[in-house]
Amino acid sequence: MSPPDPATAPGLLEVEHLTMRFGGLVAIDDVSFTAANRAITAIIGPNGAGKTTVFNCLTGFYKPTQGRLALHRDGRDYLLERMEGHLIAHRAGVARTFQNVRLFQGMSVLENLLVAQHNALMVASGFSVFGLFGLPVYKTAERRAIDLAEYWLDRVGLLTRADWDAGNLPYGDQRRLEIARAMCTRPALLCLDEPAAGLNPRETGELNQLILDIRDQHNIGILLIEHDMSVVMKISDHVVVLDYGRKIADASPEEVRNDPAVIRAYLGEEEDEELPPEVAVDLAAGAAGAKGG
Amino acid sequence: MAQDTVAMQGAGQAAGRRFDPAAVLKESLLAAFVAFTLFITMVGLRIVEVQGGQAIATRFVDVAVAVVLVFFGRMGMALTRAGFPLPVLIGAGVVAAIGTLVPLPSTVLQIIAVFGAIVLAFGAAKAMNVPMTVLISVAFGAVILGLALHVLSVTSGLLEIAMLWYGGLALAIGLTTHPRAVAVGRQAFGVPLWVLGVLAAAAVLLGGLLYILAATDRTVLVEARGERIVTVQPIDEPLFDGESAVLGTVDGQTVTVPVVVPRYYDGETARVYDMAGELRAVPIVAGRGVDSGVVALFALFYLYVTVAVVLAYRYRDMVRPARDGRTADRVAARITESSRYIGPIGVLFAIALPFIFPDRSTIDLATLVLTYIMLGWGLNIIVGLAGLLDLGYVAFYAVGAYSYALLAVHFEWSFWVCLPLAGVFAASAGLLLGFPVLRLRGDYFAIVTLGFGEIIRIILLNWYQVTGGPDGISQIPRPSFFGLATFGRTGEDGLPPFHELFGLEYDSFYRVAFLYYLILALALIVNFTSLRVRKLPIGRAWEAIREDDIACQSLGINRRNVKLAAFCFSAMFGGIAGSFFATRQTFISPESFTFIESAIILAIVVLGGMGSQTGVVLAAILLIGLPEIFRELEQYRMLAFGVAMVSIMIWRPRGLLAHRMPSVTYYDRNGRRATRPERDVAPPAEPQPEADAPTRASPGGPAHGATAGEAATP
Repeated sequence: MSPPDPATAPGLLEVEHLTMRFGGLVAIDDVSFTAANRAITAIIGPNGAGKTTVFNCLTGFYKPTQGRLALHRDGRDYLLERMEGHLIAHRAGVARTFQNVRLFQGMSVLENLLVAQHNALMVASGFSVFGLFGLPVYKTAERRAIDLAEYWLDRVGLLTRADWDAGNLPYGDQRRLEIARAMCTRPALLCLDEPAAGLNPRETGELNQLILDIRDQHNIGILLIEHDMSVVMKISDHVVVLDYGRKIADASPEEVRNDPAVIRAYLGEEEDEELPPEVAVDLAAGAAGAKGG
Repeated sequence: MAQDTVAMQGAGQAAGRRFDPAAVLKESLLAAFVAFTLFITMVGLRIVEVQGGQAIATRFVDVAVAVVLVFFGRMGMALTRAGFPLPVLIGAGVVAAIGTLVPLPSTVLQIIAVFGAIVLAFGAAKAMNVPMTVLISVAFGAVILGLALHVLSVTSGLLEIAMLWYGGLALAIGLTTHPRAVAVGRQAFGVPLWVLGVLAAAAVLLGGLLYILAATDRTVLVEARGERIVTVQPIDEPLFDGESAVLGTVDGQTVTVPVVVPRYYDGETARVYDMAGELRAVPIVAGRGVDSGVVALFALFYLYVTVAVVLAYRYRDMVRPARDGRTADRVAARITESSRYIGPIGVLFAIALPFIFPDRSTIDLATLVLTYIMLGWGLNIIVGLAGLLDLGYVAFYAVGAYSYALLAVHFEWSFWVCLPLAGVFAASAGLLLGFPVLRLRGDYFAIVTLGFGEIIRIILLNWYQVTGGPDGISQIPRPSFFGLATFGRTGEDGLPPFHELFGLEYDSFYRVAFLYYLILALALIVNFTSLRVRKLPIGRAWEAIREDDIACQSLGINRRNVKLAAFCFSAMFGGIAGSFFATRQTFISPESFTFIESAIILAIVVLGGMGSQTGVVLAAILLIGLPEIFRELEQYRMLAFGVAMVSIMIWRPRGLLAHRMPSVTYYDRNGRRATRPERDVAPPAEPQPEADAPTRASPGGPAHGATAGEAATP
């Protein structure tokens, strides 16, 4: 299937002149880009380029020093830089996963997905009053929440392990569960922070398919940080490249791959030592994979 | 010492090492020397107040006995390891017998001797490959037997006689369940000998019971010893001064009883003896025969021992020692999973308690334990569920207590009005504290709550005009019987007395029982509410915050509100418990709300296993009940308390019953979905996200329309 053209797809997130300083250190320097709805926008860059900082600004963990982060959802605009952290997820619908998985380890898989639906369930439970007396309003809402959880567990292939403790799942399953948990918040924008880290090639392939399916079947934009070039080149519709906090490229995967500035950022200039071999292999593999796919 | 011995058991498995008497002796002497240096400072020399000055009192006999015990204990361990378990077993038995029957300089030494000997005997018996069930049964029987003999040397009560019988029974069963005995029995009689043992012991027991029922005349027994049986004129409420209580008067002279009043005392008959010019009474149960309570106790005990031993034998494979803690984990999981049965049984037992033990001391103790259970359950919300370490929980307890005391004393508001108000006030205090501290995490949070607890206490201490400062507030009214009656001998405030309302004889026990039922009801409400709330979104959010609060924010959970809710709930329950405390004590002062109280409540929660409701009950009984029961041991019980805490932290660092049950499960017992799907919104296969979010199906989404169907087909 051909992905929707990012140029014509509606813009979901607009990042304008985003700057983040920590004391004297400029982590992000005047970065602007747009993420479209129903498209996968990848943010790549060498280590320390400021990718995760962008995510943290978007999801309210950092307050950006300057810039505007506008999210269009259901005909309304949300200015993320002005919102409280939890409201960004609750109102604007920005859900994220974490670089090092942050599940509720001691709770069961199903409970993880129900916690994700906290706000809806809180209202249904009359802020615990209805729930305390066991009114049917709440019971219905809870069953509906379990339905949604069931749907996503089925999608990520964890339905048989619904009652396991999340911490006892294999690593790959934990990654997928984290995506399912983020999706249970019914987001408008899903931010995935290195979802393929630590996965084997087969799991990576499944993950790619899952992300593509989410893009195609749910009215949602996906923002992706990834080091694994085979993932980035295969599934992204649009790639933003950061280096030392500045945007150096913003184009389709093919264009980015041939962009001299990107190659310089990844491979280094003459005075630098020779390129790290794994990066070269990754880039080559990504290119081959994208062509093959 | 006991702990050391247990730890050594693991190392002592390799029997048959070459025996080297010099090494054994050296090892034992070394241990004795270490013990000597410790004991001389801890026990041997004590600073005492003598007529305004200070002097040093020496207790060298204690030290000598203790060192000798340590010496032999260590030697026994070494001998067991060297491959001589049998003499150690015999020696340990002798020491245990000496410890029970021969009066040693202090009770604690006696306990050390007996328990050390038992542990030693266990080690030796294990080295001889004696099955665990046999060991447990024999030890159980021996301890009961020993205790009974020990107590009998002081008094002769029916309970002690009962213990004698049961100790013998357990001993007999233990010995006859030894595999060799079983084999012999099977050969000779066709059934294992232990079955015969149980039957024989049961027959003997029943015979003895009948004999006691028929023949006992305690009045005669007592009078034969030259003591007086008198009828005491009871006073309204026995006044406790911490040492003894005034029971009533005999011939115009006051009679006091020790604090521990035996069970089944009718309050009027006593055995009186003269003690340094003061009449001391040992309350007795007079008359011919035994009362129903003793019989019930007999029956319960009998049932318990028989069932326990038979079960232990039947499932002896499961009663292996918990070397790596896995068995303990399994037991904890089993208990937590079966708490739906244990809970109601426990509640029924708690309801029946005043009927089984209708005496003041037991019910007072049970009330105290229940107060701590309630506090533990309240604190469990904030510590166990939300994972916030609150070291100042006693502040809410104090707020509740003072709220009730002030409202009741100054405005004469009824208890039943003040109870919810106290909860509200405490919850507000929780909010007030919550706002500033919730930004803090971990240790910082704990320290600030600790400070808050102290601030509240210091305010109470210094705001003399309102709180009475260190004098506290006295004469806090007792609760009425739901505004219908009072519990005094005569009615007050226009209310009739309780006993008249129900046409009963006056008994001060009614008030004790009423307070007991009141705290039972309050505690159960707390339990019910927190179990319920745990399954609600707010409860799950609490646990999620405990697990990972960053992830919570990323899911749109307002962490501040969720934590505040935990604080409010927790504080409210603490406040309600506080107002109960005030009304029960009728006197409160800042002294009751020191940091140690917070620490004890926290210890109950941590010891029981964070978040475990059953664990709190168990821990409260262990931490509050046992020290109260062993109050006679004075400061030594705190030593035991410390040893117990340390051992539990070593063996069960996450608490006794640390096992979490999910608040909701997807699969039921049969592997099917536990909850009915909610299919009223759409055709069954329609995926929920689309169905519930119509705005998502935005116009001009051809890809979406085409693929929604695909997603739906499983």
